[in-house]
Amino acid sequence: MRDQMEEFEMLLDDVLREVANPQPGTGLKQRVMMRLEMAAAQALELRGMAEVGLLDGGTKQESILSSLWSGLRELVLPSKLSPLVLESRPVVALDRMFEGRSYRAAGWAVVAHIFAILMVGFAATTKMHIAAPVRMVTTELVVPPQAPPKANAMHGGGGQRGPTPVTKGTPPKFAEQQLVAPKAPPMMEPKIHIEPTLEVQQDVRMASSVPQIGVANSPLLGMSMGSGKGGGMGSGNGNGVGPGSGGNTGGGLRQIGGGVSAPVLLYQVDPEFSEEARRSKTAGNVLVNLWVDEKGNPTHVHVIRGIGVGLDEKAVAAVKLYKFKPAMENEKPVTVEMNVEVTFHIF
Amino acid sequence: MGVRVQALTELVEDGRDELRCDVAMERDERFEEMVARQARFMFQVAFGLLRNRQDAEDAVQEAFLKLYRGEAWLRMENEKGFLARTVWRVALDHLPKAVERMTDVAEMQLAASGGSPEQSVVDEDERAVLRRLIDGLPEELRQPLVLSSVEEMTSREVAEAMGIPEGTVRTRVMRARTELRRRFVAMKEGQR
Repeated sequence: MRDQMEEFEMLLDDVLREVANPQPGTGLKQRVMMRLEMAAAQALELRGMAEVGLLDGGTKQESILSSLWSGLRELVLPSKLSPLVLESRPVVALDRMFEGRSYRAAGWAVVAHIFAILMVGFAATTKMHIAAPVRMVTTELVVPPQAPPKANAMHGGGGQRGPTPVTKGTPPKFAEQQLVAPKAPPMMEPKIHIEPTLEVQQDVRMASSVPQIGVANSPLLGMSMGSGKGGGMGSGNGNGVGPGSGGNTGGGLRQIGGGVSAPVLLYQVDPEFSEEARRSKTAGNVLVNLWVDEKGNPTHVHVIRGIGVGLDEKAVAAVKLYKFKPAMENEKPVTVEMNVEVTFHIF
Repeated sequence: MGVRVQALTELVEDGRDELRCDVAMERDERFEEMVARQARFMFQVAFGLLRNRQDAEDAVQEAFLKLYRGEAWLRMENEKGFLARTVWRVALDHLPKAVERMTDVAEMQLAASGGSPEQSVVDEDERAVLRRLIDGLPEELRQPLVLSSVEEMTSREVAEAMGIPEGTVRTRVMRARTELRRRFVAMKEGQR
């Protein structure tokens, strides 16, 4: 048994030596060296290619993650680059646009610029009204003429419908309010005798020695109260004496002042601008004279001082539409004469 | 003055080049010597694993190439152990290919042998039986057994090459031998 085991061990060692120690083919060393040389040559070739840049860019490629990471790092902590060394040097080159400096040209340029700036400023500040509607402001100026002394305020008039002008005589008693008008004879004596009066200021005196009723300066003889209307004497209208209207004596209207209050403007109309005036840019004041009657309506409107170019007519048309509170005397509305100034202004 | 300095610099450069050249040549000579000395040994180690001449030779060449590219071989202490370890690792990479080729060859041999398995067993002598039994061992037993049988290779070098403790190598070798004997005896008894 032991012999068998020893025999087996010997056999096994023999077989193992044979199995574990095969002889390599002849020239193994040469083949190894050749392989090494080939590899070295290949490495040299690769290095050469890398030097000329064939492999550098082509085979190396950054992965997406590393690219992202480097981008982030560059954003947060940018790597400092080495300072740039300027290797090039400036070369003197001819400027083809250079033309030299001329003081004269510079002066002209300055003048032109100043002129242009002034023009722009002028255009900016000046308002050009070409076809835009013109806005007008009408300033109503009531010019109350200075009231004359009472003794000289002899306006007024009267008259009755008779065939002849008033005849020579002594005027009846003057009173503030006429109750009974003087009548030409034959006259029926009324039951209650009221002395006939004329509506004339009581401080007016008319000297006359003629016993009958009339006007002292009349050239006519006889008995007539005149050819006018109303209860007065003379050729006018109203209860006064003379050729005027209303009370008192003489011609013309009652004047504002004294016991006569001025009419108050209630309603006003802006006058229109005439096309002609707009074109010629005419502006100014038009003085208009008018009567304000007992109802406050303007009558007898006419221009005293005009400026033409159609503005006078426009002013009259506007004033005719005015409405007044009438002038008052002894708490009674009376007709007065007044002036109105209508202003035409272009902005 | 400048010319002289330049000439001197060139001289120094030349000297350096020569020196570099000398170093490289010396290194090549040393390597060549090592190849001549250890090629056979490395071939045997690779063959122990791969069991194929062609694959073993490829592994040896590749191992030397790796060594040549690096500098580690200049500093190695235990030359055989280091080289065995290197070629073993390279051969491990070749192992799948080698196993595939081996099965092909085995099948071909089986197909060409003709007669019954019994007959073939009777015809073969004991050495061939033993060779086949060794081949049939599990790899973890076979590898240390074969490597230990390589000439001039101690169990320490085997352990270094395989990357396992020396004690393990010895244990495995013992187990492998016992197993081989058991199988051999069993086969002999089966033949009778």
